Amino acid sequence: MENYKLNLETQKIKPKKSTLIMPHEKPLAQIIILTVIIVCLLFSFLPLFLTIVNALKLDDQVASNAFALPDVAHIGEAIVKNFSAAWDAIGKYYFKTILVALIGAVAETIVGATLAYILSFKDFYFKDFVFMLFISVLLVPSIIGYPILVPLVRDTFGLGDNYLGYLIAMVGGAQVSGMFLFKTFFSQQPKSLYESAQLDGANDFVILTKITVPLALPIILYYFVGCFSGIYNEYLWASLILDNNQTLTNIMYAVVDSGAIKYGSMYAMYIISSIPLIITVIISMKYFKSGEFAAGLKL
Amino acid sequence: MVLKVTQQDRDRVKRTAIIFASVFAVCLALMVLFLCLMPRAVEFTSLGANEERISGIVSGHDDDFYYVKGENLFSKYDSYTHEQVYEFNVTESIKAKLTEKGDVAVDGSFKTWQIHTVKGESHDWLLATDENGNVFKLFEENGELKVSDDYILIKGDEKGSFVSKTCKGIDSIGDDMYMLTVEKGFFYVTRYDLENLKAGEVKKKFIWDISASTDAQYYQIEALKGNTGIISFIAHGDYVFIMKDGGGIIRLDAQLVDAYVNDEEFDFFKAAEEETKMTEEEILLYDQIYAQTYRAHLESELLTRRENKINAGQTFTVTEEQIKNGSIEDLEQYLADNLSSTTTESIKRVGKENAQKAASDATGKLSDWHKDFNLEDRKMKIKRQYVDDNKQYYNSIFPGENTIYGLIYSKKNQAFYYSNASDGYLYEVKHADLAGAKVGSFLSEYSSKIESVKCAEGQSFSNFGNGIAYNEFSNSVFIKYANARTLTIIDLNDMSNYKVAYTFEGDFDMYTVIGNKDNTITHVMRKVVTVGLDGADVPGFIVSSYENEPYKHKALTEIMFVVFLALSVVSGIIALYFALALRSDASVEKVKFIAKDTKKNKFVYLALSVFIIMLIMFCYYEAIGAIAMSFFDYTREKPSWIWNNFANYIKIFNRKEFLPSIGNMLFFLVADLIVSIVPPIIFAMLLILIRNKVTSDWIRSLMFIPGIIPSIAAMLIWRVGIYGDDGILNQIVQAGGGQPINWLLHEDFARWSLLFMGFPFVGGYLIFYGGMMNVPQEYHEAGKLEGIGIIRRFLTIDIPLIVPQIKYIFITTFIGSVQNFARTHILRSTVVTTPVQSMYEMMTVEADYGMSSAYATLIFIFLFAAVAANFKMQKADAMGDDL
Repeated sequence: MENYKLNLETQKIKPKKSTLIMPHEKPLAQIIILTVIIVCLLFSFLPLFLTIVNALKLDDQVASNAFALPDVAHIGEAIVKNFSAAWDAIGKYYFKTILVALIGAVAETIVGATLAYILSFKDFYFKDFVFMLFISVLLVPSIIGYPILVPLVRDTFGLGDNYLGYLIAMVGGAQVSGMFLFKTFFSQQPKSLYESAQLDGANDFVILTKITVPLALPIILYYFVGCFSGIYNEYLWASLILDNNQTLTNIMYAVVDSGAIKYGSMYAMYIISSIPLIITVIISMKYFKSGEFAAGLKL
Repeated sequence: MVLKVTQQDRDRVKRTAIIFASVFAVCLALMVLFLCLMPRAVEFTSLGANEERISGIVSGHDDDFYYVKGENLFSKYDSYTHEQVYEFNVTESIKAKLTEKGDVAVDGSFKTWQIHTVKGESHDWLLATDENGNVFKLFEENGELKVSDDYILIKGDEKGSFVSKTCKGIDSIGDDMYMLTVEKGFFYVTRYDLENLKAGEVKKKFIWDISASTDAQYYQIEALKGNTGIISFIAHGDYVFIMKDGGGIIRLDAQLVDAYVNDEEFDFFKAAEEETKMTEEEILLYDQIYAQTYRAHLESELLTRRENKINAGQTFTVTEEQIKNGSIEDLEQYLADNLSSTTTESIKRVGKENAQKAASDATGKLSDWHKDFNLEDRKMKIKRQYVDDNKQYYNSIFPGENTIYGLIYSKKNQAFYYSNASDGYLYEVKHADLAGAKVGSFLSEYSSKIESVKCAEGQSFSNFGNGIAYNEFSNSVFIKYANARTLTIIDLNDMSNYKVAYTFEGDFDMYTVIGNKDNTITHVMRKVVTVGLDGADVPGFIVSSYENEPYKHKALTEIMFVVFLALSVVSGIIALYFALALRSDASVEKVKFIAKDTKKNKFVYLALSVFIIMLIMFCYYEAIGAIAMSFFDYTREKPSWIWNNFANYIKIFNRKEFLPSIGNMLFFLVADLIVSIVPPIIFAMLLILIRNKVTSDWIRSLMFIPGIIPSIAAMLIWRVGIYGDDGILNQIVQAGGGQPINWLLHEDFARWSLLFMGFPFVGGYLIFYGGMMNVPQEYHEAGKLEGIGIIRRFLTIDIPLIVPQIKYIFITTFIGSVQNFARTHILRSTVVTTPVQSMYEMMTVEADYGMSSAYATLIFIFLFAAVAANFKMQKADAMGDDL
């Protein structure tokens, strides 16, 4: 490949643009491509569009025409009415849920990274066995064990209706996928860095925090953001283990399902629930727009 | 590295083996110890063909209590030791007593016994009642139950009524015993003088003497007519309280009753004759029938049925003898055959008027009516009992607007307690405050809220009064909230002191809780419904007893048991491994190497042990347990570990939903795989083809933005906003003049609607985009030079190079699609079933963990086979690459 590159350079062919205009680079083709992309974008934005537009409308307007833009005269009234009803429905659990998701995401990331570090860089006799022990779990459907897991957490640990019980099982179950993802990326890091660090007498903690994590920061952030929205969006497990200390998604599902909240207020509720994810989306945008993280993806 | 095996090494291995073997022994012993210490609920279930049915439980005079078991047995239990003290065959004993006394008046065919305790000042009796209305007196002597010599308190048929009556409650004040009986929808309260009963003479002192001539010595309570559920019947002070399902209280004043009785004569026959031209006999018949049944039917649909029956008839004649000897049903049949329709109309009209006369008084001064039939002077006497507003002998107090659940009376506090469904607080009603309560007033007017006792958020009180029970030994209340699995104790002496007493598995209707003086729950009777051998629902009761402070110890011992179980398994394996290594030098060498390696990596193993414990606890234990559970009839209410010969699997295969659900699963699987790979790849290609990199950058940034909506919210937007009744799809359809469609429940559209949620499916493009961007530019350049078109470039260069990404998405989508439960559940598309949805329903709605696990196991087998096949293919590919 190197030779080939050199070859290209030495031949000094004319600049690409002028000589080899591919058919798709012509203006008409570009316009068609852009149109298709924009149509896709519009459809992707449909739920978001509905949410924002309808959160600013009074109920009868939503029911008659969901697409119509908000009536400017009633916008203030609609906002006050919709958002206060929405906040009444979910406000109590809002910050609790965010905090729980943050703690859970931190725990899942630390557990996944530590485990991956051990299985990537440590050399010990039962390594393959331990790796197999972890990786076989990926084949088991995650919901298979709930009939056993629920009594375990509720009765044996006495952690039913407790956010700790809610998180502990999630962290315990998530460690495998985290480990697997991180291990794939850690194993691509240059070995020489580690060897020199070891020669300089750095211990494992230093290596992990000073070399491994900085090198794998994008993927760690990716995983952290994924964990956060995963816990934030979790529905099934929360519905099984929590009674009074609810999570946002469960409350949202319950109020929509029971018909307690409708039309404009419902959409206002979605907007409120979206706010924490804006931050995760900004982080994702910054790091993953280029799609570089996907290069090392393997199974 | 060559390791030499010396004798020292062998000794060391031997020593280690012995050490681990002893650790194993100790852990095993501790495990067994904790297994023995583990508190176990003693459950008496009544559901099998060979098991005894428990149909009643009552607390005794001390801390003991009695069960009604099966058809004929009473058994006494000790509330501390939970052991049976004795068993008493009530049918045999009473029959023997009847024979001994030569009593032939009592019908010996006893049905369904109930037991009651009567705690008089000097009498601690047990009463046995049967469905015929017989009440027998029992007493305890020398540790066994006996039938008293004055054995019969009430003969079931002594009223001469057409139908039998059942005893609903017995309580006593001083030496008076009050009994509440129900008959054909009427409730009667009768007072018995225990002094006289004790003397062996069956003599009664009635609260309300209804008629001298017919000896119908029962009082009908207007407020209780109809089949109103009675939740408790308590005599206290000068009053008898009857608490109704839904929350009303009827208070009868035992002292005031006799004083306010006036007689009034009313020539009913004359009035009836003038108006309807009825014959005497017709009137008599009417009176007999309506006196017995009319008011009970006012609120019941039976009325319509019976009226229809009467209308069918033509003529009739009937004698008094026939009426007296017949039954209501026979008479009705007789009427149906004989009565003329015109007569029926007039009978009904006059009957209604008369009944209304009585009923209209229910809110005013006239409390009740009764009749005396006198054929000779053709007069019917109506004895009316007038009372002043201030001297009512009964109050009917309604629950009011709020639905109230459960009502108990604390004799010690002299107050009622009830729960309010609307705000979740416990309320107190002081008995003294009720004294001035008017008929028909609302309970809420006399209640005060107990601020310290409130349902936890999201919980509510159980309805039908089954969620609340009173323990008079400790003056405390047990509450079972509707959507919690816990039993809460509230100490009525100190309202701020309440705590969760026990956590149960599963939901149930609580019927009775028996506690003892230490405020320990000893026995909880709860209702369960299981499917019997013939497929019909069999209601039964589970009675469970629990140790003192059971909850704390239970968790601790269970954890200790598991810990020592795990330790003994681990140490046992290590000991065995070392012991086996002694066989040859080579294995000793290997063990030596491993030991050295382990010693070097001891912190690694230490750290790993945390993760492995979590892994085993939260993944392996569940998976293995679920697979094991799928072979048993394991339900939440009845956890049984009996092998059932694959019955769960057979049941699944025989369900009519099974094949459609597999079809749906495969449909979604194929569709998901296509939409998660093809559209994103095309979208990624299009993005790459954009020449202006700034535009591409912007588009990629914009594509993140829809992700701010939480996935549940997005699904709900699709469910309500897009597919809903007022959703945009229906708005479009209606704008085009069509009828709105229920997209998610429509047989043809439902699957496609579910699939199209997420249109245009390009959200996952980024992984492919990233993969394609990492394809070295040189390849493209080279392709360009060779004149390869853009389509060929993608097909021959880009796509082969992003195969790892495609594989990743393929496998994750495969696993995710089969397990996708949120799609059908959140969108409430009940017409589309998938195996995972069935599994969820089995787990939550049916609470049949065995069936649920069987579904999970089938899903697991399917996924395992698919993923294993995939890995095998990958391996084959890799080998191909090597070659």
